[in-house]
Amino acid sequence: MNGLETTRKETKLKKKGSVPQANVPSGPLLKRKMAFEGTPLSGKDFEQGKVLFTTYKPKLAYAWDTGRAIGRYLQGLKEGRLLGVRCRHCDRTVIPPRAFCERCFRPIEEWVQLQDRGVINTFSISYVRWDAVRLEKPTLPAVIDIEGTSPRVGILHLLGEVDPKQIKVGMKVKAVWKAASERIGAITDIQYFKPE
Amino acid sequence: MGVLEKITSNQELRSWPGEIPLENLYTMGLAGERFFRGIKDEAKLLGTRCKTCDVTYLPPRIYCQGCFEKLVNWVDLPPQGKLETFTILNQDRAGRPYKTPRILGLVRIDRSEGALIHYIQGLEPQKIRIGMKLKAQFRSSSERKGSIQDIVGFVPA
Amino acid sequence: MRKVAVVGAGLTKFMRRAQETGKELSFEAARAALDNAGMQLKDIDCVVMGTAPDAFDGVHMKGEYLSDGSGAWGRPYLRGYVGGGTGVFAPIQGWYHIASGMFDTCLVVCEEKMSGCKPHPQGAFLTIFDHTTERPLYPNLLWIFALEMNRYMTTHGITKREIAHVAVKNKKNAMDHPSAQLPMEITVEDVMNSEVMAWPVNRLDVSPTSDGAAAVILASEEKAKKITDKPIWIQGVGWNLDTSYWTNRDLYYPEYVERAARMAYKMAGVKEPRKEIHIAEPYDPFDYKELHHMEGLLLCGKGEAARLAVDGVTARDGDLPVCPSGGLLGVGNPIAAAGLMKISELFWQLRGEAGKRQVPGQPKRGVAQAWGDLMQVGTVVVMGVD
Repeated sequence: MNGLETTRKETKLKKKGSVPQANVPSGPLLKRKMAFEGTPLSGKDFEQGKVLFTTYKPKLAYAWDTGRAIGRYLQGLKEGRLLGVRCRHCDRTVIPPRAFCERCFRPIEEWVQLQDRGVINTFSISYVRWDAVRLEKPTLPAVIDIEGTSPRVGILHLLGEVDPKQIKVGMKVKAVWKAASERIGAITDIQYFKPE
Repeated sequence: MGVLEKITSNQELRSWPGEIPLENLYTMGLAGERFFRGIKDEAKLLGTRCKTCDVTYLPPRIYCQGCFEKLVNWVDLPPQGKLETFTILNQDRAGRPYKTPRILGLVRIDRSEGALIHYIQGLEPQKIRIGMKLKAQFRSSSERKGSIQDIVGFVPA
Repeated sequence: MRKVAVVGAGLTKFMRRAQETGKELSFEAARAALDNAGMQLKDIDCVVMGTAPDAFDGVHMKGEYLSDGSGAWGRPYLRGYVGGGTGVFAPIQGWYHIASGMFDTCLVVCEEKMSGCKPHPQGAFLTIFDHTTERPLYPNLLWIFALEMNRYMTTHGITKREIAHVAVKNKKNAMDHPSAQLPMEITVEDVMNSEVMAWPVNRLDVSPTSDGAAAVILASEEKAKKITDKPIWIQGVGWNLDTSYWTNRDLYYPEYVERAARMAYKMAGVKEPRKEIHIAEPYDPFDYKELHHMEGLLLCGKGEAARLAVDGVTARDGDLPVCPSGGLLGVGNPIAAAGLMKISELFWQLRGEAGKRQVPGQPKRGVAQAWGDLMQVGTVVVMGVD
């Protein structure tokens, strides 16, 4: 026995008459295999036409409204500025900006211009692209606690101009912006953060 | 910046474009594999039957949704049935008009509780009637790939 | 509230790529659970389905699609979804269906078919990140695990080598699990030497993507006692969600898991989890997550879990067996089904029916936990023999 083995007979009802009425088959003990084995397939089964399949690629495109808070955040990025907001009630300054404080659930009114620098909160050296394709040269994602915010408040971004082996949690970093003419109002207007 | 505050600068308002860059591959499943092999190899419709509940499933399933027993009883079904409802399509998904309107129908397959959605062909839209008998028109065996499109459509029987 | 028991459980094998459709996988697990309880579908009052993003299966309204394969035809049916936390959330939803007095029996089914998602199931996770402030950086699911793992390691001074003990243990435990996809006997060196995916995450630190399904049957006290003489009771449930601004909190500790655990322990009357919990099945999609979650579940102090893994305390025959099933690392990770697999494991362990996987000493109480969404949800169930 290992739990996955089921026998219909041994689990029959203790008392008769009342629901649920288990339909216990009479005759030989009905034993199932321990786990349903299923039908595992390999890539070859598809390539060699052993198995039928269909494919579908949804053609969907979105235009996500930024809303007011992120709209202004993106406008700031275009101007080469990092903007945050401060909840007066919680005395908490956060980035990315938001229209309301998720803690006290009050509207946030106050905008704060933050420094375009911070401290590495945590980082990774990633050899895998979003779609699981292997990379030769690693991407260096990090959470960067932005100067001027409340403790442990940061954004996700990338690191650059640094030897991956030299990266440390707690390292001070500074934003490297695209040229003003190339900025479009996007998080990628910052190319990456580099050690100060 | 209350959320209900009036918009004063449309410079701050914009949208961000994007896609969901995925595609899906669907296996037919155990029941589907046999069903579509039947269409591809033999131009026939296969169903599964639950004797206890007196139900014949088309497309077939490996289980009965009523009593939840495994279905092992496969039956050949005639590739024909009755039109249960229909609609006449005048334009495609992008809103472009069709040269000739297309008819989409729900065909209840004989000797089963199941039905297929498919195109109805071989008659004028004015002639179509709910309840009329229709039969499946299969592509030639060399053209069949094991898909619902192996059936060109249903035509009057 | 009424007492609720688990009276049956069933699983499919977990595998990289199944020919079966999601409906067919759901059916096999649900049918196995019914057989395990000696019940028929007509004995079921309502059905709960747990399944993660629609993007994996490529079926919108996936709950509705899966319904007939889950035994929900013509029945009250509910699909719930909290990402990776779903597998332990679904039985909680089943629990309140019965605890409320509304229903007497509930079939809980969890399914995931990830293999159909191209170019890779991981791509579906791109869409969980904020579309404007994060997605343009092309984040990868591995990133958030790697970032959290690094923060956890750095805060406590824990090494990769210590964490690797979890992968070794779970993959070995899985060798005794008939549903397992990745059972293997490996060493800490093997984990350390496996391909670096996103440092500090190596390939053997990670659970696989899987197709599979799991099911359990819940019943009210009165019904449960008629169905079986070994009901396993749901003693406490808890769930909690943190903000999706995941870069605005310290990732070293899952506070939301602690809040969910405290809720469940309070209901179960557990005051000292370390002494009163005999088996733990925390969520382990990555090896460090097991440690992270043991701490959130208050089974040890912050930063202490790695020591327990290295010292063998969490081995199947240790003082606190953790993931005796083999966990997601060994059995596999069809997301929602993996969480419900943990509930199934507690059911069999507490009944003394876990066979080769049985933890010694007649355990009386266990905890199962899952985690997910954008690193923000904790779902916890405490189960026991009385």
